[in-house]
Amino acid sequence: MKKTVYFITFVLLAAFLGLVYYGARHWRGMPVQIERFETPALNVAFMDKDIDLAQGLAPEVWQEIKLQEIKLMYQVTALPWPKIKGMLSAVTVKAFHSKENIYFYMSWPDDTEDRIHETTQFSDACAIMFPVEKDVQPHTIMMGFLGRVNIWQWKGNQDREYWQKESPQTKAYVDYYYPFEDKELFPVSQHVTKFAVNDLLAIRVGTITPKDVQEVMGKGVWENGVWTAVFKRPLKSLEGENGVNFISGKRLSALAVWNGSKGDRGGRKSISDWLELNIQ
Amino acid sequence: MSQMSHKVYNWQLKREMAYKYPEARPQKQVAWIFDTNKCIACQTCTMACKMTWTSGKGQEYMWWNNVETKPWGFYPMGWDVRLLESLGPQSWDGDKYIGKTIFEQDIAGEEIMGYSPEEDDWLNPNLGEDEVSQPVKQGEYIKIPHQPWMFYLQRICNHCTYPGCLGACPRKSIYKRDDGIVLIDQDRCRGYQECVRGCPYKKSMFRGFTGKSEKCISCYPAAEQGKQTQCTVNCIGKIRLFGYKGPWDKPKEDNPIDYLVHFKKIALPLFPQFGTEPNVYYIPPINVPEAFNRQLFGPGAKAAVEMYRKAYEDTRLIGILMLMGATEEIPFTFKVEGDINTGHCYGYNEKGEQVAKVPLKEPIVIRQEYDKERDVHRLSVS
Amino acid sequence: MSVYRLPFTVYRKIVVGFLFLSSIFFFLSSPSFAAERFFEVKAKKFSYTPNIIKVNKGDKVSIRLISEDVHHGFFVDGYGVKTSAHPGMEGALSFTADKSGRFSFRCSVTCGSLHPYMIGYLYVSPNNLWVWGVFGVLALGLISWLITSKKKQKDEKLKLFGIIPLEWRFPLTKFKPLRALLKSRWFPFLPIVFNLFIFTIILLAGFIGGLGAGNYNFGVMIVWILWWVLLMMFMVPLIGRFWCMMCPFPLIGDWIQRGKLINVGKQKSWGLGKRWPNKLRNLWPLVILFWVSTWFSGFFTVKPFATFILLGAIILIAIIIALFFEKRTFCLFVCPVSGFQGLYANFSLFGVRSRDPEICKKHVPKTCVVGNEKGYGCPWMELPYEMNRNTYCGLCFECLKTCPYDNMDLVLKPFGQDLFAERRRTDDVYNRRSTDEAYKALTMIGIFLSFFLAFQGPYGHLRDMVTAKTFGLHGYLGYLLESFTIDFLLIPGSLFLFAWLSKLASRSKEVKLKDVFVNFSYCLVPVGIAIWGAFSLGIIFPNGSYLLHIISDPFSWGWNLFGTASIPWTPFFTGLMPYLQVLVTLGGMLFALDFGYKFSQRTYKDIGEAKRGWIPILIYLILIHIFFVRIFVG
Repeated sequence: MKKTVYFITFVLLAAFLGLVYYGARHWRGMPVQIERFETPALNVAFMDKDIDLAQGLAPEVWQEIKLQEIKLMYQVTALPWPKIKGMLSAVTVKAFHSKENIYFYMSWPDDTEDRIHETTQFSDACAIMFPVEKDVQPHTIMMGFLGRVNIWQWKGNQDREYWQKESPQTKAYVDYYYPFEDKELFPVSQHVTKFAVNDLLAIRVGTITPKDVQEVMGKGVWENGVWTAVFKRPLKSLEGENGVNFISGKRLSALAVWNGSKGDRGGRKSISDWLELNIQ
Repeated sequence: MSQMSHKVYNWQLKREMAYKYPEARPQKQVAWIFDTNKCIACQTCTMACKMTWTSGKGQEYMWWNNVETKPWGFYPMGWDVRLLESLGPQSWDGDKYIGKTIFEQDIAGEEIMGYSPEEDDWLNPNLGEDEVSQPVKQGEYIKIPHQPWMFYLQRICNHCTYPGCLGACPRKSIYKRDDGIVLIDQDRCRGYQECVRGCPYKKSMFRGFTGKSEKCISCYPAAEQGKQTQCTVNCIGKIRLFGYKGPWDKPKEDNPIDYLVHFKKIALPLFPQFGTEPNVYYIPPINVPEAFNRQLFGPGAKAAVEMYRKAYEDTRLIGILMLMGATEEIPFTFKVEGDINTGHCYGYNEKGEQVAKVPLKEPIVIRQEYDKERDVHRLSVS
Repeated sequence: MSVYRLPFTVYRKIVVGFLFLSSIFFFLSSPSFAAERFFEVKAKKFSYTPNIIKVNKGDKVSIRLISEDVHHGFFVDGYGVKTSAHPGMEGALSFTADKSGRFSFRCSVTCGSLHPYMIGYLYVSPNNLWVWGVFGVLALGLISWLITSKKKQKDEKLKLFGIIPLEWRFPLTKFKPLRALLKSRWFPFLPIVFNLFIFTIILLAGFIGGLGAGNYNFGVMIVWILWWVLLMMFMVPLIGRFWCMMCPFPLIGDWIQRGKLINVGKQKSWGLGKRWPNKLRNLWPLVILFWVSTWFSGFFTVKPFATFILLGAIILIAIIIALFFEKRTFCLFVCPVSGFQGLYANFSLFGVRSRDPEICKKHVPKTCVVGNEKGYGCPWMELPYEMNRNTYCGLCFECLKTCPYDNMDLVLKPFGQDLFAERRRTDDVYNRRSTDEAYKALTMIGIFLSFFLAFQGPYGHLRDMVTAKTFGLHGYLGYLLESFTIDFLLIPGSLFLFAWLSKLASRSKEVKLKDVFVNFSYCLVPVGIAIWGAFSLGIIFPNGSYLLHIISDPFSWGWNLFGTASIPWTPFFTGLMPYLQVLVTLGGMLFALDFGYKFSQRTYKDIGEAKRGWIPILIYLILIHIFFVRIFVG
């Protein structure tokens, strides 16, 4: 009896210790994944369709494409901050490319349609940003970054001027006719109509600069409290190696949204974390 | 929280102060002297500036120079009282400012304490003009200081040593040249209007037509050629003087601006408690109660007023006052010779050439009833 | 003391005066000017800097959250606002502090093993709940004093709150279906087997579970969130050793000993069947073992594999003990959970008792002890026919099965009846009121303190100590030392001091200090139950939503069995939580006061000594309850 008992005891102990040893090795060997923040991915599929933005945003084309919801956060890394009030809604983003062009779609809720950039009045805007260099890793270092990025910023007021051919107006002297407008001397006093989308470069906070060649077209429509903006650009940049070229593979991107009625402009904005594009 | 991480010395506050950038005083600093006592609010200065620089599209509401009546006039509406209210107690310990400047407030999410005026605030620059401080009561008569009172405050961009606009711009689109002029780079500006919010004097203004902000440029093409600014030159009352101020710790006695600011201390900055070290210096109005002057010009206001009322005791002071409006060229140095009744004040340009000679006492000419030379009788001679 | 000779009206005036003054103090906390407050909060595993934020009611609070290592969140209990930050991308939060009190802010993004315990405190003054809590404690204490000082003689019959006679019993097994259920050999076999299934999954989840983070692991969540909370909030206070009834740990040992799965096999255990040594036939091994198991609380509550080791080791030891010793020796003297369950079960509403002692007197041999073909003799080595305390009864219901006269009942009884049960036998070496049980009650208080401060407090360095980030005196060793000092020295010492004061105040000559100490330690049974219950509230409300996730995805392999795997972390009732915690604590105090005075009467010879001796203990109870209220909401 005694012997049996001891034997059974020994076997049990050995088995348990064996399990523990195995488990410990196995456990340590297993990468302890602590809810690593996964970079969301967006497929950029090929579709043999092109969108003429002059006609509209082509919602029928976008309907078929799978969307990705991206969380936004208030930009509070660098001063000054946006007005922090309430939770932010997510941005819906979609993308596809044709033989020639790549298209991005962004949609986000906004109670008011702000297309005026005037004294203490700011326009709604959205932007998508791509590191210029290939193979950039998604460090979570967003604002103090990492080499050049190419930013496509669509602005509501520029969209209005470009597509609706309206020029900026001031409250004072709205009806005043300037007899010498075309003889304006100062270059700084001349108004240049820009595209609806600013094609910009930046290397860190406060360094945003328009590119010499503006390559991106875009259009935005506001309806029932929701903005929808579409960006269009040739797959290959006119700047060759110095630009962002969209070839098959993975590419990082990030988003930003400005709500003009809340005084968003510049660094006062809401931003997303990195979004990985899977270009097919 | 703020990024005001540098310690700089502000001589107007007699203490160190926080600022976004390190101390870097220019070689020479553009500066103005405005004698508020002589202003008649004819607004010629305002129109001179407007016609020169701000008559373009989108600039309609802009008055880079404005003259507002204190206490009830503002441009834009309430610009000073709003900021003074949020600034908190503005205490002085003798000459030293012990309150907080706009750079030393701890505001979540902002670098500088400021506010963005609404579009409407800019539209009525003449409201409050010529309004006295309170209704005139039965039996009141004039005494010094006036009660009720008002005076004219002429304002342009102060081209501050520690500009609020420059500190507020997140893109470094505003820069201060080594002649002290503060300019907004029109290529770099993207119209964020942080400068509009950050300037305590609200002299940075947004131009919707170009999508960029603009401000007084100290008529830099003229300044670079040794000429005084449009608002100075066109002033009918000859209340203004433009020139270059020397460093605060090494003022030159023969520099008219240095003399008034650093030696006589009769010309005082406007709202030094904001902390920007503005470079437009005012001779305070002698008719205004001391408390108001003190709030606007600091603790030196009382002494400045007293000195002004006894200005005749200093021929050099009188000389500079007479030099105002005497020449289009910048008087880099000045000299006074003679006594108060017969003396003259000479102004010299950068090269030392004389550009002005004015008598210390305006000669009195009595117009005869009959002019022999022209063979006419004059009417209305006293 | 002459105060006892004063007329009652004077007492009334004192009470009214006290209430009036305290209410003035309360309303004096005037509202202050609402300011804009800004805080830069740095988050790092597993604490915040600053970990304590103080604002005034009405302040507009802005928070910038900076993460120093991984993705962290910031959720404010009671307000329900939150934000999150990665390194390099900060989070911002803005809200108006319109509710006053103490609110925990906690991490809302799984950031590592101690994520559910990454907590800081936000104080919005005035902290009215704290004031009301203290007020409640003092009021209860004062009422107790007023009531007890009025008494002229010892209570003949002990009544709970003077209403329910403590010796009242209601036999629930009067209801035939219940008796039939308890007599069936399938009960509690089936619940045990069900739990065996659950624990198998727990062990598997601990062993092979996917993520290293405890809150996404079935094992960690079921054991330390669900089971522990159910145990402390419901099972132990209400139904006593209900868990022991359906615990799967001794099942394998039982099978080996009995040789049969369900039906009755060997009455004498197979194996060496030794008798547990007399010296250890008390709660001391359990006091020590439970305390030792808390050394590892920083690991097994957060790391799945550590849970596996702990539970696996317990099962292994259960089997080995079953091989070497008789019957349920493991359950009685080795299982770490057994100690406090046994002691606290004395408070509970249920118990197994014999009905008619005459029947038992005439019954020979007593089948409840030796067993028959219907069931086993009491595996807990109790004497069911004269059992009058729950401490060593595991609710296995064998005695209901074996009794030929159906003389055993499952009874409903008032709270705390067992605490006053007298020893029936003088040779009953392990079923008596003594220092081992006193220390069990005391160490439970100390362990609660360590746990609460480390796992629900804002102190990151305590969490570091508990998880052995470093091993020295400022690290793990310090934790062990601090734990020992508080559990075995300070808290028992504090009771000892007041026991001594009690003896002094009573002016009794004969009473033994040890008796005073031991008797009054039983007051701490309802106190311990209450504070552990309140502690459990602090676990289940914030973290209960993880349970929904783990039932669908127990191993973190990406399953979604019930469709609940993607339910996000959703804390509930966090605003209500502090109020409930204070109420529960006051509830415990209520019972402690009631029992305490009764113990005083038990300990001291006459009413005068009892009343005098009661005062220091009353003061002690007031002080510790103020302390507990402070821990929970102050």
